Amino acid sequence: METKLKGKTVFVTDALRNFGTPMALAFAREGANLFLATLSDQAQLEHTARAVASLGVKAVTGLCDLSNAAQVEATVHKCMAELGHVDVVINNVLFPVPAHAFGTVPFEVWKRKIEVELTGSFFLFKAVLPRMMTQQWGRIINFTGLEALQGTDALAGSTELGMVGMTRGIAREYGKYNITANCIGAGGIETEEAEGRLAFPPGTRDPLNRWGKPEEIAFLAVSLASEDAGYVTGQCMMANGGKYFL
Amino acid sequence: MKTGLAGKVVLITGATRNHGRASALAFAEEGAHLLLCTRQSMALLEETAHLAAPFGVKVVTGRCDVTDEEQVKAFVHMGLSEFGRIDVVVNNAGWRARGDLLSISTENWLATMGVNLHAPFLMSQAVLPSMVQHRWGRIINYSGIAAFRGSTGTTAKMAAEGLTRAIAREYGKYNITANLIGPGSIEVVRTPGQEIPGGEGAGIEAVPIPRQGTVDECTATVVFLASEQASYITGQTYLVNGGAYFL
Repeated sequence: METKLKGKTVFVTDALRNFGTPMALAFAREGANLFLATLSDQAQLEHTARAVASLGVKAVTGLCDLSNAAQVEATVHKCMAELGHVDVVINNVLFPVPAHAFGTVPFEVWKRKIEVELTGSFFLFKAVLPRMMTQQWGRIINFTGLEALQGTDALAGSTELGMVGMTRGIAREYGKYNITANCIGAGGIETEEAEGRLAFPPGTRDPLNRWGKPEEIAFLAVSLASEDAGYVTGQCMMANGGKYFL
Repeated sequence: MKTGLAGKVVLITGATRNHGRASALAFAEEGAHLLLCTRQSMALLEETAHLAAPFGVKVVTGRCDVTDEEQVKAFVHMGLSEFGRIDVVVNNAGWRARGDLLSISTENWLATMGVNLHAPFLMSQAVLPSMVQHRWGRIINYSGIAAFRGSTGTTAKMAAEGLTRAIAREYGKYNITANLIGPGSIEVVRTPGQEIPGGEGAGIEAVPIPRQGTVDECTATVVFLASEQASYITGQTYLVNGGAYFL
């Protein structure tokens, strides 16, 4: 598949979490340069950056709390300064909170998760979209999950469907600039538990009775970011072993 | 249709006009008692209560900023003291950040999150213990056409759908349902600054039913979802939009 991603810049948020590392490597194999942002541990992110750089592309890292608008703008500015543009955003943001029964979710915890994941994404796109508009090209990839569809976790489910709403909004509002926005709805991936997320282990009633691999999600992201995915926007692409059909 | 709502207690947020007031009157007509709140206009809320009076139901009103945890708890506590139970919650209060993502201020974004997402969270959490105790409950949240057709300003409305599904899953065993109603283009009175760019009903001719809907048409679905007959419907979104979007 000719993705035409060579020389593009891919900005990955929360690059240590979720599918961040396999995602970065998958884009690097396509010849894209990477900006890897993290909320937590920049030192650890250097490992990923080195692995990315070993594939012959540029990799820059930055510390960024998405819920801080000034930090987000500064981080996107750094990406522009060092890599020249921002073409693809892999919005991997995740503020993991153990699943609670709804009645026991503290309001402060609820608010913080929304602040990081939804308001943080709002800040991110405010910083990124003007740059994409200028270059008349952009790909935004957000993440949703099974919790949103199945109602298995009020906290995760709310922010995940919120991301679907935001994706549709960006898709409608910025399509005219040749910017697409889509969601990947992963579920039943082998890294879920390690990430502090609700895990969806394989079951005999699942069409695909095995764990999914982060690399499979990365492949989907690369595909959505590719030149020929330019007519796909506002969609949710499910990758969950068939646990839920949209 | 027998709704089984006579004698039930229905809490409606933002019951001063439009959907909120119409719902209040429709529930009163079914014989349900009303617990109504508003953040701003107590005069309009009292007017709603006055209009409900001929139905012979008990109406209790109060001021409540539904985005404030303490105020929500206090309002629900007051309602439980007055009625002993709350059976139905209609999270009608809404706010919308209009315009595209780049034109929405942080302040407006946060207001939208507060009214459309934090409020149903707080209100649901506050009333669910009473519903569990009585093994009966209906939570009705509001979505809207823009959430489906794509508008950054309605991110919170989609998030509220996630919340609704989670409540549906967790509390179904207590005979409590949680659903959303998604109105399309409806004839309403807008708060200044909340007007639709391009005017009310713009583009309506392309909708299968080429006119704006009325609040009464939405209210009919709200009353249905709250009724005894809707007891096996949960976690769903019912769109009342003239076919503007097919789910």
